[in-house]
Amino acid sequence: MTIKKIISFLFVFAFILTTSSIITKKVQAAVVFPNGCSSAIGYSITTGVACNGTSNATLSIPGCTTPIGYSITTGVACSGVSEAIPYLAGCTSTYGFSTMTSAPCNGTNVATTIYNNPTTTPGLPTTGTSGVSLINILLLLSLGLITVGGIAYATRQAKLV
Amino acid sequence: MIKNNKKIIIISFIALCIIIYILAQSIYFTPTDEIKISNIKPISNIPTTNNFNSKLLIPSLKINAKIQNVGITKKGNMSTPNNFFDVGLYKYGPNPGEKGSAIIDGHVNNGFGLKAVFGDLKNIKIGDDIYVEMEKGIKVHFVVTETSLYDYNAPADSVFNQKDNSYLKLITCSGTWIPEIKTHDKRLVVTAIKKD
Repeated sequence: MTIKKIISFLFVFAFILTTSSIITKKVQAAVVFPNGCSSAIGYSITTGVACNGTSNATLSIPGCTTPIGYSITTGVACSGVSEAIPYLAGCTSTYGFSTMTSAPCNGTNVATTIYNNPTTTPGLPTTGTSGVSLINILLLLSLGLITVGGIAYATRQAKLV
Repeated sequence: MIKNNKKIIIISFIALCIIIYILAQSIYFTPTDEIKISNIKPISNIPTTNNFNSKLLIPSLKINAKIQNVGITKKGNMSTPNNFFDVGLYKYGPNPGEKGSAIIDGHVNNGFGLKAVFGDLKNIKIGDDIYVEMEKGIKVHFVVTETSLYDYNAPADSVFNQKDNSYLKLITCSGTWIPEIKTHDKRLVVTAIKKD
């Protein structure tokens, strides 16, 4: 009975660990701005109201040329809210147009067409994954305990029968 | 009792499958979001077959890695090899030894934070030798002339487009991990020039 309780506890722990990271990702992606706004900067192109939800619009953030990412001078999010937006709504990259608003995905007035010209210089590659190591280790430990505990319990029950 | 046993066995099996998946992702397979560009042919053409696979050799760091041809991600960045042991040659740039900048990237660490192929690249010194084995027994020799750090989103013209000599540039991640963008804040670029 005790082993069963331990297994249940570990499974719940692993479940919470996994789902919490997924929920965090969803929350990060769920920044919603007013209609006609791709960020909290400027005014809505459809309603004309300030995109930051107040009566005074934020017109620009130093170090930002688009609403995407972070200011290169201050490090704050260029979106005008606390959270940086990696891509605009309806975009999966900075190339092409939004499938939701039809606005350019690069946050400027002119869209960059889908990358098909390797004669232009690409960006630097992403070559490290150490930031996810802690969650990987925790998940492995808890799942490992579930597996070992489960097998031990099942083996013991089989012997009793 | 038998029902309970079945449940526990199923839970254990699911947990075991997840363990295998996490282990594979963290230690070996690292997916890339490279796009296929059908209308433009790659410029680099190094052998990556089972008979012979081109290699990058850095004796001072004990690196002996297979080279994969890599292109561009959907975000417009240079892509990376699909595992933590190989390195990737930018296939839309020149071959190592040709005039211009041949670019090779590799991972600095894996999903457990353990050293990957370029885990020790930060320890390379000016004057160190680098070899690229292009064909069986034929090596192109480079000598390290410079190491620099770039911001992860810095314009990369000076890295990719230096064309006044035959350069080999090695790139890997460096600096601090930024959770919001899921990458390190710096890129280490090692520049080497072909030795005649």
